[in-house]
Amino acid sequence: MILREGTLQFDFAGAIEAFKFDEQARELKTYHGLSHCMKAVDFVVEYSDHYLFVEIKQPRTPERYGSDRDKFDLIQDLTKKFRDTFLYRWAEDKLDKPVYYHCLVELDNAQTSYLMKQLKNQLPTEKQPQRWRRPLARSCSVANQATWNATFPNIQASRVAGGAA
Amino acid sequence: MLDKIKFERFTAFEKLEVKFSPGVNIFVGENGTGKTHILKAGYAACDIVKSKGGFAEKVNNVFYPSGKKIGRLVKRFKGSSKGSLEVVRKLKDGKTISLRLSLSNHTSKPEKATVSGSSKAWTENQMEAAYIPVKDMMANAPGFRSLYDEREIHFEEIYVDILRKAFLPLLKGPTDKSRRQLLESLQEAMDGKVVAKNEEFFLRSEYGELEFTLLAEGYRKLGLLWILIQNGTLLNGSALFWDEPETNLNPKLMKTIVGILLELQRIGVQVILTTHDYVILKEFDLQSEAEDKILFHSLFRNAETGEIEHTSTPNYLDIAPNAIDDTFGDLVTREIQKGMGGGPK
Repeated sequence: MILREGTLQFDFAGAIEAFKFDEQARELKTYHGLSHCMKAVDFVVEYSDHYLFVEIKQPRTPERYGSDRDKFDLIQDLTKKFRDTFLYRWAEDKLDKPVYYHCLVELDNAQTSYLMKQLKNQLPTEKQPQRWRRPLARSCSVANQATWNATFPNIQASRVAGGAA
Repeated sequence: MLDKIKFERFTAFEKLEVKFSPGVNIFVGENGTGKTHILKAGYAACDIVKSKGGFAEKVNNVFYPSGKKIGRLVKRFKGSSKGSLEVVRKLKDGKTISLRLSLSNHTSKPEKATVSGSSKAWTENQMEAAYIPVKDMMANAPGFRSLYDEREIHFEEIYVDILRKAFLPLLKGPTDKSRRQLLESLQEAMDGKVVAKNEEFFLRSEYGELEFTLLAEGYRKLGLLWILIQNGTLLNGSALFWDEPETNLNPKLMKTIVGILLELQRIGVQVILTTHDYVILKEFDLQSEAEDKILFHSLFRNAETGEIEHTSTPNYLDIAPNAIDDTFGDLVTREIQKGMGGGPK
């Protein structure tokens, strides 16, 4: 299943369903309808044994996420998008399988590595409180396009011409 | 300043030509791709005027092939083969001069090798240069120079050269403002000044004098840089060759080091360094300004031919291949896979 965000196209091979999560077209059954109050990841993908949330950030300039403040804001944004999407999916009664969260952020590998560490702390995926009986996200990741493709051979991201989704 | 360097069947290179930036040149690449060889060859050409034996002998001393048989610098090949090394310089008047060393694998002594090009103009226009090797020499300074001069010890000449330069006396006259600022930022980073007494170096701070053998190796490097700036080795028109500045240096000090290298470049010092370190690359990316002349050179082996090739770019993000970023990429991939356990791929 092919989905596009900006200049990136994703092929979710083997997915049952893949759709743009914050769909703005009212006529579609995947219309989000709560964009005024809830944040949303770019794509939600359903596989036979799990769901995948995907968020894509392509900074216009390499300096876009340069400062600590920018990185902090980015992590807050990625975290909030996940939480709101998770909540929305709960209301849809669509949390019957484990959820994975993959973010594609076009920065160098050292910086995505730093962002991944921060995101893991925020969700959190690894240090969950003793009181929890189930995880939110099973795992989360931040990678740039090249590393994404090397890591997920079944979800290839390729660059396409033009900007509109 | 050095303009370019050409190798043909020399050490690790089958054929390679690298054009230098007059400012900062940063060489990246995996081990065994010849980064240090480029630095040594460039340095040998700059320092030739100081050595009686000329270019061939300097190259031989700096590379130190087994038995000092200079022919061993020709790239290994079945049967006889010839190799060459050519360095091209641009003089202040814009004129270009070159120096070329040709030899065969049978050439046993430097005087048997052929040196051609503008030898006369080359020696008439001295180019001051310093080569900072990976291994620190400052703590081992006492007696090393005389030992090197009197005995045949197995050290490449770069090790004694850097000490010779470190012991040069101060320049006459007051230190100009830009150099004074550089010295001050180094003093701040290492919390003191360097003094030499009887061939021994000490860091003098408000707590007293600490000999270099007791000083963290990272600070010895800062101290060496301080000396080279203070005694005028690094002035407009000179070149600094630095092999892996990151070695034994706390990453937090990289910001200072890179800031100083950029400043040196702004006062007209050509900087040529190798690195395996992300922080150095990123610091240059973050601290450089539009007018700085930074060039990143990536050395790599062609997957098909196995020969060493290179790409050069002024933009950090366009370095390709980038062995350092690839290593981080591999770490990211493995971290994601570990986080997902045996989950979906």
